Amino acid sequence: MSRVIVCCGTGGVGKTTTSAALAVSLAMRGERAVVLTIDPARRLADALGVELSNDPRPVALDGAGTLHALMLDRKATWDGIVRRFAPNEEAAERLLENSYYRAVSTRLGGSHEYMAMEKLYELVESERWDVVVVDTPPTQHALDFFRAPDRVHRVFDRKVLGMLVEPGKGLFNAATRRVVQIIHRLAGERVIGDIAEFFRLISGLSAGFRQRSQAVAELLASEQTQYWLVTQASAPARADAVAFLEEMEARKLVLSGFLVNRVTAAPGDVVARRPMQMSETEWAAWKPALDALVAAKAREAERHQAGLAQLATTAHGAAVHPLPDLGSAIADLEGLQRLASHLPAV
Amino acid sequence: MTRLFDRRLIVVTGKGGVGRTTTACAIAVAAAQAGKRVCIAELAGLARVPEVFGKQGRSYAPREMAPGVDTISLSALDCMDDFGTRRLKVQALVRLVFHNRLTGAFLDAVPGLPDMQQLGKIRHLIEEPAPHDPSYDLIVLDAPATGHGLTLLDAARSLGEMTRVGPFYEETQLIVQLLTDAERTAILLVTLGEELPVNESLDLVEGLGEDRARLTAVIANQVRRRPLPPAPPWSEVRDWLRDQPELSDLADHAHQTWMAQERALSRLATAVDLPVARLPRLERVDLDGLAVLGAEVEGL
Repeated sequence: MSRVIVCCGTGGVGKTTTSAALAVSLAMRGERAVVLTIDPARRLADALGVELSNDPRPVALDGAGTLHALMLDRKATWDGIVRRFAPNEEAAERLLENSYYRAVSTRLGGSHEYMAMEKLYELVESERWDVVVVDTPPTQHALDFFRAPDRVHRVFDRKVLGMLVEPGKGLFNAATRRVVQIIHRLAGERVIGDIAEFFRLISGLSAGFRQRSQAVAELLASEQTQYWLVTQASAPARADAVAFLEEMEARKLVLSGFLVNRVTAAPGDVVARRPMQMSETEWAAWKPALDALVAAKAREAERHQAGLAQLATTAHGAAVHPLPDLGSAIADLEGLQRLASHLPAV
Repeated sequence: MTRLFDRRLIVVTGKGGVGRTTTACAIAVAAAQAGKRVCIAELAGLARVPEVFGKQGRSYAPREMAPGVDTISLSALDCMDDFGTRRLKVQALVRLVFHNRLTGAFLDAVPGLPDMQQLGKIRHLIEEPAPHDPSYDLIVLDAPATGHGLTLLDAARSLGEMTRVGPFYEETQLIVQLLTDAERTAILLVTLGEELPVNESLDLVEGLGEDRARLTAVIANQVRRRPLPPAPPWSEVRDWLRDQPELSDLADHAHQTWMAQERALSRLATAVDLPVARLPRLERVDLDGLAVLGAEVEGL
């Protein structure tokens, strides 16, 4: 069975790059690794040197193991599920053309996260990998990742939404009937009709779908899955990180640790001395500029250290791993390997 | 063209980590100093704005953050109630319908519906405030980090496409009208003066198609000042500092970062063909700092 490493975190903290670096480090150590990226910047694809698609492509890495990478295509993954679980091709085609299905598969809240989990399961099931590293979609709340399956399941649960569109089938009281009527009036019959058709079409595939999502949930809660939270040392990023940790605890999941990106190291005891080639007048402009750079870096390093200390006190025992600010953005495999060399062994 | 602060709605968009919330707050503070009554709105129950002002907690009722600046944290559920009250009038009916789990499930299940509820609330604050609502000259919307502000426009359009009739449909049409009216609405794209965020912004602008014309301006946030004197040139001074490697590495990094910023920003300005405002990088953003940042945007 392959191990699973989930990299969580809000947007803008370098999550995708860190996931890729983690996969690089595992491949360097001799594992057959695959990294599933979500909405990667073009630069990361360039750095990996592959054209990313919804299927794993090999990355030319000189290591003891191998590395493959892929990029989630939400719609293609949804369509794949439909084709797999539909009773026949005609049913699949009709569902793929249903306008409500099209909206659900491209823009339903939570469906991006849900499809990442689905794709992850597919990778694990293929048994081609020792370890699957998964980046997660950028979310408003880091917690959206865990809420996604519930949100999607509610849509497919005919006990809830099915009541709305097939009121004849349920036995409900006058109040509920009134609610249904009003929702019909507000939303318009067209949407309701599309949703009703959607439910008729998925009835053939919902058993397979339910089983599948049960298996995914078990995988994510099992010991073969590790969670790492990518964050930064700034206050808002830390607040998100702690909220995420609490949500994990509520779900009885264990956080392996925090990966804190772009931590500034304190400058040594640097005192700028005038080079002999420079005149006193020129030095009068250069000295304060150089001093200011050293002082600004020292203050930033101090803020980051305070942030790390703060995070450690709220981390409920999870490890806090600072990663150095490598300066320029990562542009190639070498850059990813450099970042990888600072990652903990997972 | 209408001046920025004379519009009714400013949508501040940009990817996570570019300082979108800070920018929204800066715009609000500067507009308030120019005499406007402003409200900063957040969606999906987020409450990052109070933190910028050194406060905590989230509230659906407007809260004052600074003189003339309120904030409000919207969520689809809160707004759904308001929508119900406007449409159904009878409070008992609103409670029956909108506090029903069926309705909650429906809200979650129809893509675009939560956006419509929240944008509908903003539209009402602007166009037809309820008697108990404060009356604002300007609403600054801190748009979600996923996608971009124009996904909101997209969400309203596709919900309209799905519904075609009924009250939900009517509301989507009014929202699209507001968002596409350049006299009343400005859409600002926030980015950073670094290669990666600039590339992402250009990809995003590229992907807008015809809606590209809806963008009002681009805001480059956290712009660094030139760190080293222009003369003698750094390439020479670096050689002279060879015996002080730590200092020369630090200065080199600062210089290269600044050069990369200037390259990225000039590429951005050429490619988008829109005004690009530069907000300076501040170590601490307090109320005065927000006013300094906001002043850079006022001229747009």
